[in-house]
This record gives sequence, C-alpha cells and structure tokens, in this order.
Amino acid sequence: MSASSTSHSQLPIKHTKRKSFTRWIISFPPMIYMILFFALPSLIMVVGSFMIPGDTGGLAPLFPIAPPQINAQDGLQETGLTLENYTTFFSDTVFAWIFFKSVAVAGLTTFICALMAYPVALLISRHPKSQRDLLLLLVVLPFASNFLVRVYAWMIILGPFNLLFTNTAVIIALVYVHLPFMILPLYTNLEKHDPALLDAARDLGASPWQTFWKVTFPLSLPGIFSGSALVFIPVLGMFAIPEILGGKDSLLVGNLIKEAFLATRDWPFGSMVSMMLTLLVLAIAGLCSWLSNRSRRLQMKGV
Amino acid sequence: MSSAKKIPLRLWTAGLSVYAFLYIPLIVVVIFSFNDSKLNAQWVGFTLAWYKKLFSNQEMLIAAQNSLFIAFVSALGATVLGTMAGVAIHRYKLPFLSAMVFTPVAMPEILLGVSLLLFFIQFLHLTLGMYSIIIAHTTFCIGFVAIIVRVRLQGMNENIFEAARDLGATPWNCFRYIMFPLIRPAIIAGALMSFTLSIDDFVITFFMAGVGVSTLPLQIYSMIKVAVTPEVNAISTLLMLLTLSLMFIASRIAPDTLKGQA
Amino acid sequence: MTLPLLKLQNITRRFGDAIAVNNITLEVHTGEFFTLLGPSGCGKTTLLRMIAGFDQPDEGQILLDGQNIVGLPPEKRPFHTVFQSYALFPHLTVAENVAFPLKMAKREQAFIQQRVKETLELVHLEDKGHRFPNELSGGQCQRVALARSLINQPRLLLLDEPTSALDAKLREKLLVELSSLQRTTGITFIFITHAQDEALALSHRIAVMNSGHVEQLDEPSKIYSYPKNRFVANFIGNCNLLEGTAEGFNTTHLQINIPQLGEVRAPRHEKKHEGKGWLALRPEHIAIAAPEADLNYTNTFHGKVCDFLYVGDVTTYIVELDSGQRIEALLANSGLGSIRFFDIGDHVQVAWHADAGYFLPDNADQSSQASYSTSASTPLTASSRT
Repeated sequence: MSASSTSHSQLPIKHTKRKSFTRWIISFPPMIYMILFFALPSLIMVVGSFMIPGDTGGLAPLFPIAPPQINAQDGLQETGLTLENYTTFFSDTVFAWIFFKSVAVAGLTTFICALMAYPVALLISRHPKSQRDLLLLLVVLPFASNFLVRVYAWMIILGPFNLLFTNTAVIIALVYVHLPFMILPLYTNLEKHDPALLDAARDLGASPWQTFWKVTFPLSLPGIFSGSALVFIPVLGMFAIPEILGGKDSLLVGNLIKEAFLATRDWPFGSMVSMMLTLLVLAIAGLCSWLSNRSRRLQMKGV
Repeated sequence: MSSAKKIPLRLWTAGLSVYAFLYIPLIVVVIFSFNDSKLNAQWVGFTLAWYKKLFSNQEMLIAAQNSLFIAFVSALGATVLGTMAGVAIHRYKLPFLSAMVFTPVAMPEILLGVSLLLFFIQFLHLTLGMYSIIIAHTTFCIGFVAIIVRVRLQGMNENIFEAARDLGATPWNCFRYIMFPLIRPAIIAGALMSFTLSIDDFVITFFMAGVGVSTLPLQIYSMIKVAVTPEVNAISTLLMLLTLSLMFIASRIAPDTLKGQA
Repeated sequence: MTLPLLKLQNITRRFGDAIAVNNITLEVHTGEFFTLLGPSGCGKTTLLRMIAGFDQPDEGQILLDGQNIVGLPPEKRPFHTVFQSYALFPHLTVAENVAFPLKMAKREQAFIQQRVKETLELVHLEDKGHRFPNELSGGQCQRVALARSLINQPRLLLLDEPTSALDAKLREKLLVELSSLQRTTGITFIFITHAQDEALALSHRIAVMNSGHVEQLDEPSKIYSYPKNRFVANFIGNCNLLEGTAEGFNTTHLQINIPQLGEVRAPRHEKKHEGKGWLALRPEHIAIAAPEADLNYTNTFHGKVCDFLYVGDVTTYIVELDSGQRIEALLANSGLGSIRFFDIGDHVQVAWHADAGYFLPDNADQSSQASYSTSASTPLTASSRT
C-alpha cells in the first residue's frame, strides 16, 4: 500500500516531464534551423548595415587582428560601427527617388491587379460550388510555369510592339506574375458572402450596380487589402523583371540591393538598403493588416 | 438556387479576358517551342529540333540534374522540419517559432538571399555551392510545409487526439495511429509543394549559387539575358510539364489542403 | 467501510483570475449513475477534464480507490470519455474505432475481434462495422463513441453532454439506451449535462453546479422536492419563488408572511426556520379553478389569467393575483378534444395545499459554498444498491 502510494505521488513529475519532452523534441529542430539560417543571417545583415566595406568587397572585419589603420585621407578609423551607410542613403536623393519609384510601381501594380482580379473572383464566386474548383485551378495553373518563363513569354509578345525595355513592359510583367496573389484572397472573401445579401439589396430596391457598390464591394475590402499585401511586398523586392524587361530607368529597390551585393560589392551599403526595404515591407504589411482589420471591424459594427 | 442566377454578360467578358491574359503568353511559349524558325516571330513549321538541341546541351543537362537533386534534398528536409514546426505551432501555440517559420514566406525573397549570402561568406567564410542552395531552399520551404500541415490540423476535431489518449494511447501511439495518418496528405502536399518551389526558385538561388553550380532557372536566366531563342521555349515547356504533373499529383492526394493553403 | 470509487477532495482549478472549479469535494460510488448538472460555464466540463486527466487541478486531490491520481496521464487512467463531438477517428472504420483501446492495450487479435463484435451488438451496430464515421448519422456516431469507450470495461465512463448534438427524438432514444447500458454493464457513469430533465430521468445522484461549486448533491427526487437554495429551485424545473418571512411554526407547518399575499402556510422541514426567505412552489402543486369553485385548500388567492403556454399534455397558466403577484400554475389537459380551461382575462382562483412548497431561508444561499459531504443526503453506496 505504501509502496504503491509513493509510486503514485511521483507520477505528476513524470507526466509534466514527458509533456515538455514531446514539446521540445518537435519544436527544437525547426527552431534551431530557423535561428541558424534565418534569424542569425538577418541579425548579421543588421550589423552589416552599420559596417564599412572591406578592401576586396564584402565587409571589413569588425575586430581586425592587425592594429586599426588610420585612413590617411580623412583620418577616420577604418573599423568599428558607423552610420555612414545610412547618411549616404539620406544625403543622396537618388536613393530616395528609387524607393519612391518602387513604391509607386508596386502601388500601380497592386491597383491594376485588383482591377483585373475583381471580375475573375466575382465570376468564380457566382458559379455553382461544383464548378468553382475548376475555375480556381485555372487561375493557379499558370503558376506551374517557372517565374522566368512567365517573364520570358512577355519578351516574345512585347517584342513586335516595340515595348521591350520600357516601364510599361515591367508593369505588365509584374501584374502578370502577381495577379493570382490578388485573385485568391479576393475570391476567398467573395465566396463567403451570403447570397441572400444580394437578394435582400435587390428586394429593397437597389439596382445591380448599386448592389455591387453598396454591398459587395465594401464587404470585399478585407480581401482586397490582404491581396494587396501579397502583391505589393514581393514587387518591392523584385529585381529580375526590371533587369530582363526594363530600361535604364526601370531600376527598383531590388536592383539596388542586387547591384550592391554582386556588382559593386559594397555589402554594407547593400545591407543598409536591405534594412530600409525590410522596414518598408514591415510598414506596408502593418498598414495592410490594419486596413483589413479595420474594414472587417467596421462591417461587424454595421451588422 | 441563387447561385444558378444569370451572370451578367459584362462580368463574363471581363472575367474571360483576364483568363485569356493569364494563358495567351504561356500558349505562345509552347507553340514557338515547336516552331521551325530561329525567331519567335511567326509560325514557319513544326519541328522538334529545339528539344533535340536541348537534350544535347551538356550544361543544361547538368543544371537539370542539379535542380532535381537540390529540390529532392531540400523538399525532404523542409518536409520533416516543416511538419514538426506545423504540429508544434498548432499544439503548443509557440509565437516565437511561428514568427521564425512564417516570416520568410511573407518577405521578399531577395532579403533572405542576401542575408544568407552575408552569413555564408562573411560569417562562416565558406565558398558557396550546392549545399548553400539546399539550405536556403529548405529555409523558405519549411514555412510552406508548416502552413499546409497547420491548416490540416486546424480543420480537425481537437478532441480526437484527447480521445486517443483517453482510450489508452501513449503520446507516441497517438501520433503514429491517429495524427500521422490524418496529416499524411498534408505532408505529401507540402513535400510536393517544396519540390516545386525549389525547382522553380530563381531569386534565392541566384544569390546562393557559387561559381560552377547552376540550376535550370539560372540557365534560363543567362539564356534570356543574352538572346531570345526557341531553345528557351523548349526548356520552358518541359519545366511547365514537370510542375504541372507535380501539381496534379498533389491535387489528387490532398485536394483540400491545396485549397486551404491558398 | 467501502471506499468510494472516486473521490474529489478540495479540487480547485483557476484560469488566470477566473476560478473555474472552486474547492469541490464529492464522492462517486461503484455502479452509480452520477450526474454533474449545471448551466454552461459552471465548471462541469473543467471538472470532467480533470477527472479524465486532460487537465490538472491547481489544488486538491483526485482519489481513485483512495490513491491520488493527479498528474497521471489520461492513457494510464482506467476511465474513458464520451466526447460531446464524439471524437471518432475519421480515418478508421467503426470496427477499428471500437477496437482502438484493445489495440493500444496490445490484446491479441482474436480477442479483439470477439469483443468488437459483442460491443457493437450491445449498441445495435453489428452491421455497421465496415463503415467510416462520416457515413453514419449523428445518433449512430454517438453509439460508436459509446461502444469504443465501453469495450475494455473502464472503471468509470465520463459522458460530456452526449445528447447535445441530437434532435429531440434521438435524444430520448439515447437516454433510454444509456440507462439500460449502465444497468447491463454495471459500469459507473459520470454524466455531464445542462438539461435538468435528462439529469432527473437518469441519475442515481445529481450534483447541481453553479459558478465553480456544487450547490446541492442529492437524489433526483430530493433535489426536485427540496431544493437547497433559490438557484437550485430555479434551475431544476419551474418554480414560483415568493419572498417572505417565516413568523411562526408548529410541529408540522410554518407560518409565512408574504407581503404580496399575506399569511401562507407551508410545510416545515427542518428544526429552525425563521426569518426572511423564499417560498418555492412548483406550478404542478398549484391548483387553478373558476372563482366560484370550492377548492378546499389552505392557501387560496384570486386573480386573472394574463398568459398561458399550451404544450400539448399540459398548459401553464400565468395568473396575476389581485395583489399584483404573478403565479404560474400547471393544469393537465386531461379533457378530451380541444378543451382549454381558461383564456386570457378570465377570473380564476389559485390554491395550494399547506403541505406543498418548500421554504428556503436566506442563509441557504450563503451556505452553498460549503463542501457537500455525501453523508448529508441519503448515501447511495454500492452495498445498498446491489
């Protein structure tokens, strides 16, 4: 009796141990992997953006083995952390202009995507359930081709129209590549609309056009905003499309980063631009989710 | 049946034009891959010459081999780690782990590419190669697998895992007999998706490929930077076929998980 | 003295600041059909999850045969749970679902097959073994869940609102089936429900729970007839509650002064019954008749019918007395044809016997926090049942 009661009294400890054991064993490997190959590299980039380039490109060592050398020209130390990259960025309007242009291009792309996605998403959601999957699959199917193939296709098409290497070509390809990212969330939203709402609106005297603008469109705003995030953010980091289809003035933030890392090999500067891009992305993502939540909340209040 | 209501003609026209916009470029690529002309301008006649040329292109074959190997290994790694992450996030609601796993999916790819470039070269002082591509691909595929697995778990009645324990299953048996069979379609879908993402990836591979290691997208990139040749059409068509069949398999195995992921 | 099968001792469970289960002590005996009854959010499900082992109490002990099992994982407890959502394994057939506990216990295949067959027969699903759960109706799923939980004869079966997803007809059928299953298997049931009619119909004993503690623990008839406080009186069945003061008593009856009505006589159940309180009167104990009828009852009042609820077998009349007090009275529709006795606006008299009603002194509400030992009510031990 006493023996068995002691064995029972030990059980709570055993139980909690096992629970945390399972938890560790499944969360530890992915956690370590992501810390090593995502968090740590990101951290290095943050630090790198405050460093200066090394002699042969890359980053100068933060703690050199040789005593720090004094730069003869301006008398500054060649090592340590510096704000120089950021001051360069903010002192030359050329960089601000590229950021501004990228945001404008991303905004225009998002707008056109929304414009084109709406009829498709609406068309699918108005179909009977059995046909929706097929129509949706037809939207996703072009994804089966490689990203570069989809860009390349426009080289063939736009060539005869003398549109190659222009900003128009860049926008067309950006829209083409990102359109499904707008259609899918918009459809997911439209599909949830209660068809009775449309009937009710019509029943209460609204024309189809009024019904769309007063009922369907406001209700679909959360879908549009989440789709916008999915289009806007990748466009900002895009470098291949401007490079393949664009002209000299089509460069975006992505090109700036790529050039810094692979051509001029000024890695601290590239890291700094990447940091600025990260901040921009975070701001856009935050804005989109705020807008999406707000429109959702407003709808809840309205009901 | 309100869904059977008449769809306005304007909506049909607009919707179908967008579908046309999505498909015409790809159809053009496929058609010109069989065109007996060096220019992608007008139809001359049918030929398989570009495919033949492709299969005698040694560089291209090695790149294809590399692509398949990288995709296989990174899909394997991402599937194991992503499944673990998906289950762990669903089970224990770990905000830190989910931030770590899902952020790379939402970020512009270039950021992951350059930060890993810094990491390997500047921090670890390593030369890039096949391994760095595999590691990078695994990093962003983990998130996709975790999303698919988690969506599948979210769609399930949480009580069944408790029921299994209640009926005498140890945690391991609960996983083996109940959870694993139920999330298997999601795991397979995640694996196929990782494979597709890896084989198609250009941006990250572009930063991760050192001298000497090439993949199919990198080959296409260098070809179209130089000139537009029907050979590119041929390789594009083949790549399309490959991903298409992978998507087909995925939709057969787990139709609902593919949808849920969208 | 026989040990209780299960004893909960001072069980407390908090979620942040909220106390879901507050210092509960109770015993469940072998072979008993024990019910935890209460409104949603009263803590009954939390209590059940702690008994099953999905959750651990912050304080207190759960004793199985006198041994503390707090911390023991669910698979090590000889209890099974029937979940509200059935929780059938969707990828396994009915037979595989039912076989699961035996498979986990590593029993040999022949034995498993034999037991599955027997258990499916027990719940009348012998021809559904090869079906998958999604091919079954809600009632059939429920019976599979029952079979799965009964197959390896647990010491205790926990049923979490098993009828909540069923329609009225199926619900009744399941209740009958549960009752007979409990009798034939002899397994101890702990049944959780918010439906007082189910609790009254099935249980040997009921623990009425409210905001984390037990309000009353007793046999169904005792709970119905002698509710311990206003919560229980209101929660179990319908009840007229009249506020008043007990002013005097003789050996059998109390004299209660109800401001709205005047002097009323009610039975005296305990030695001390004085001061303010509430008189609980069941509608079925109140007679309703035309004003001129001669109802020879102690407590008689006149009023007007202001509403009624016809539910087929009975009609509930809501009568507004001349003093403004409203009283609900139940009248069986025993007449043939479509006879309804009274209409809105009719003058009527309501009356009840001096032995009807139950006086709840105000302090009964305060004492509800105290733990309930089974000795306070008639204990239903294993020996007394068998």
